[in-house]
Amino acid sequence: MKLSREHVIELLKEGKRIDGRSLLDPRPIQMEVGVVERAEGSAIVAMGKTRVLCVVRGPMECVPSYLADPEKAVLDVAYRMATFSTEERKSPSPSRREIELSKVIREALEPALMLDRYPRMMIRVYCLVLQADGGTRTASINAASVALAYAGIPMRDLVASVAVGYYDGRILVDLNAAEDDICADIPMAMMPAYNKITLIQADHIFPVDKIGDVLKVGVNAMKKIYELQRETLKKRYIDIARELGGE
Amino acid sequence: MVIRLKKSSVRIVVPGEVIATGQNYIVKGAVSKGLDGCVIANRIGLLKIKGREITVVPLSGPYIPKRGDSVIGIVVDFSVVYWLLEINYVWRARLDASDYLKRPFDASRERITDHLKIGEVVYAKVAHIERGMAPILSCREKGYGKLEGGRLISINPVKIPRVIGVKSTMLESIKRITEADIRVGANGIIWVKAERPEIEELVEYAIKKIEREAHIAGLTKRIQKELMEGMRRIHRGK
Amino acid sequence: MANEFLSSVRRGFLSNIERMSILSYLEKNKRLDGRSLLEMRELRLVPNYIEKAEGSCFVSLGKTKIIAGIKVSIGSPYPDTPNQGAFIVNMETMPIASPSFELGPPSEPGIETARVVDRGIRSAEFIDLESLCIEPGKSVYLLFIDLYPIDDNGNLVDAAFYSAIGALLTARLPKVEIEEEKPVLIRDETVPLKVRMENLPIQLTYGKILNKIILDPTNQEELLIDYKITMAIARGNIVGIQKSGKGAADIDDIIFVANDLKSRAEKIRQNILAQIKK
Repeated sequence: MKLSREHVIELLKEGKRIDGRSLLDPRPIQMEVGVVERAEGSAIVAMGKTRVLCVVRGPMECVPSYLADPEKAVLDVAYRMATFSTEERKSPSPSRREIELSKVIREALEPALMLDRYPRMMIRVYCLVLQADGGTRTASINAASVALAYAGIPMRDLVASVAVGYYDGRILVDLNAAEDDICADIPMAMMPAYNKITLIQADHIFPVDKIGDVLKVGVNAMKKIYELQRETLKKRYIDIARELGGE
Repeated sequence: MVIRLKKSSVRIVVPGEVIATGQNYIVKGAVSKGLDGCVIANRIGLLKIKGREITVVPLSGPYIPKRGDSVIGIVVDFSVVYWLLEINYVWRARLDASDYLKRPFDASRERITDHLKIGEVVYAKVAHIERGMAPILSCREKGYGKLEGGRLISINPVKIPRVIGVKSTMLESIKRITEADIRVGANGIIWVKAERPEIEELVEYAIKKIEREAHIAGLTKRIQKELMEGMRRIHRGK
Repeated sequence: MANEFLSSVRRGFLSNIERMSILSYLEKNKRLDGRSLLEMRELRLVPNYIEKAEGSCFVSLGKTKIIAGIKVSIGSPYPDTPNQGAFIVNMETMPIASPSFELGPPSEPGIETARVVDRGIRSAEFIDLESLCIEPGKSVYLLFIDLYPIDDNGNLVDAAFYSAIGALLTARLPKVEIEEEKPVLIRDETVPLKVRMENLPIQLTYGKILNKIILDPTNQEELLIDYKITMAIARGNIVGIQKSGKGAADIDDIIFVANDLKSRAEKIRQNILAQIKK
C-alpha cells in the first residue's frame, strides 16, 4: 500500500510509524551465516524488508599487486544493489552512491579487523542488496561483520550498525525507505566492546543540541543488534557447544 | 573476574567477547588484550580455562603455514630450477629441484619436468616461511616426496590436529586398523592409499566424521569401533 | 563447511590423484557424490523470493544457487514487432558465487549463460509477447530478467534457466493507466504475466568425460569435461542447443542428449509446476 509523504509525516507527529512500530523499535531482524558454501565467509541479513547478502573472500593474493601493503592486508569492499532490489530497475553498472557506500562500509569495518596479521594479502567483502527498503548500508555492515567472523578473520570486535532518524523533535530507530525520505537520516556503526563509532553520516537537517540524544539512542539500538550478531554466530556451532556441556 | 565455566566444560566465544578482566592470565590462541588489559577473544573459537591459563581454539580460518608443518601440495607451475606448489595458502610454495632430488640439479643437462609434472602431488615440509611471502618447501627428510595413486581428502585445516590426535593416537589407530598408508597435511589435505578402494572410502568416511565431531569426547574409541566394523564388512562382502 | 570447494575447485584444476579418483568412479558408472551418470541433483524453486520485484525465484540445483528477478518498465516496441512487448535476460557475475568472477561488467561465461537461457525461452515462445502490448506501435511492457548467481557448484546454466522460468511463472505486471497521454505503471495493482504453459521449455546440460556422458555436472566434474551440450525442449521440439567447451563433440552424443532430454522433460515439468503451486 503506497502511503503518501503526508500520511507518514502525520503519523510521525503522533509518535507513530507506518508499520505500527514504536519510535525506538527496530524492524524485525534475521541473520544467517554460511549461506554461500564456496566462500570463506558469508551471511544474509534482513532488517524488515531490506535484505542484503554479504560474501567474504580471502585472505587472498593482493590484486592488483601494486596495492599490496607489506605491513598489513588490504580490505576491499564492494557494495552493489541488484537490479531488482529497487522499485525502478537499478542499472547494473555501479552508481556514484554505490561507490561512496563501498568506501564508507569499508571504513566502518576496517578499525575492527586485525589486518596486520595478513601482510601483503587482500580481504574482499561483497555486499549485494537483494531488496532495498531503507538501511541497506547498515544491513551490509551487520552482515559483513558476521561474515568476516565466520571466515575466521581476526577481529577486535564485531561491528553493529543502525540508522537513526530525526523528525520534528522525534528520534526514531531503523528507518525504512519511506521514513528516510522524510527524516534526517543518520546511519551509524560501532564496536560495542570499545564504545567507539566507526561510521556516522547524516543528511537533511536536525538541531545541533540533539546530537547527544541521537547518539545515545543509536548506541542502545546497536548494542541490541550486536547481541543478535553474537547469537547468530554461536548458534552456528551449537552442536559442538551442546556436546561439550556448554550452553 | 573471569567467565564462569563448569570445571570440565568449554564454551564458544566470538570476536569482541570479554573473557576475563584483570591481569595475570596466561593467554593462548585467538585472544587479544582489550581495554584496560582485559582478555578478549578475536575469533570464533572454543574457550578453555585451566587455572590461570586461557586458551581460545579457533574454529575456522585460513591455513597459515608454519615452519616444520608437513603439507600436501600440488604442482601447478615450474621454472628452470624449481616447482611451484599449491598448498591451500595465499601464495604458492616453492620446491627446489636440488632439494627434491637430493643432489645438485644441472639445468643444462636435465629438464625439471622429467622429475615432477604439473598436477602431481607431493608430501613436503615447510622449511622456511616469512610473513607475506611464498613459503619454501623441502622433501629431504625420509617419508617425503611424490605421492602416487590413492585419493585426496580435503577438510577444514583447523580440524587436522584432531585427525592426528594427542601423541598421534587417532592417526595411528586408523593406520593400524585399515593398514592404509596415510599422510596428513597441516594444510587440510590428507592422502590415503589402501589395498582396496573400499578401504580408502572407509578412511574418508572416518576422517569426515572426525571433522564433524572433533570436539566430542570419546571420539577415538568411536572411530576405532566404526573402522573395525567397516573392515569386517569389507572382508566379508566384496 | 566449505572445504571440499575451497580446495580443488578454488584452485581451478585437479591434481592427477583427484582426476584418477573421478575417472575410476566413472569407469564403474558412478560419480563422487553418489549419483549415477544420468542423475540430476535436487532442483528446488522458491518463487516470489524478492517481494518488491515484479517476479522472482530462488533456485538451488544441488548446492548451486541463483536468484532471478524481473523488473518491468514501459518502452517503445521494436519497429519490426509493433504489437509485441520485449524481454531481455542478463546475468551479473559478481564474485559472490565463484572466485573466478570479477567485479565489473558481466564476463564471457555470464553473457553466454544469459543468452542461452534467453534463447530457450524466446524460441519456445513461452512468454505471450502480444499480451505485453499497451498501445500498438507506441508503448509496450519491457521485461528485464536479471540473474544473480549466489553459489556455483556446477551447471549454473541450468540453475539459471529454471530460476528465470520460476520467476516468469509467478510474475505479476503492474497495470497501466494513461496520464496526460502517457502510459504510467500503477504498481499497486497487478495482473499475472501471460505465458503459454503448453510451450514451457525444459533445459538440461550434459557433459562428456572420456567415453561417458554425465547429466548435470558439478564444478569438479566440469574441470574434467571435454565438452558440454545444453539443450532445451518445448512441446516435442528442440528450442535451443549450445555446445560449449574446448573438445569436439560426437554426433551420436548430440542425438543421445536429445532423446534423453525428451524422455525426462515431462517429469521435470511436473516437478516445477508442483513447486510453484506451493
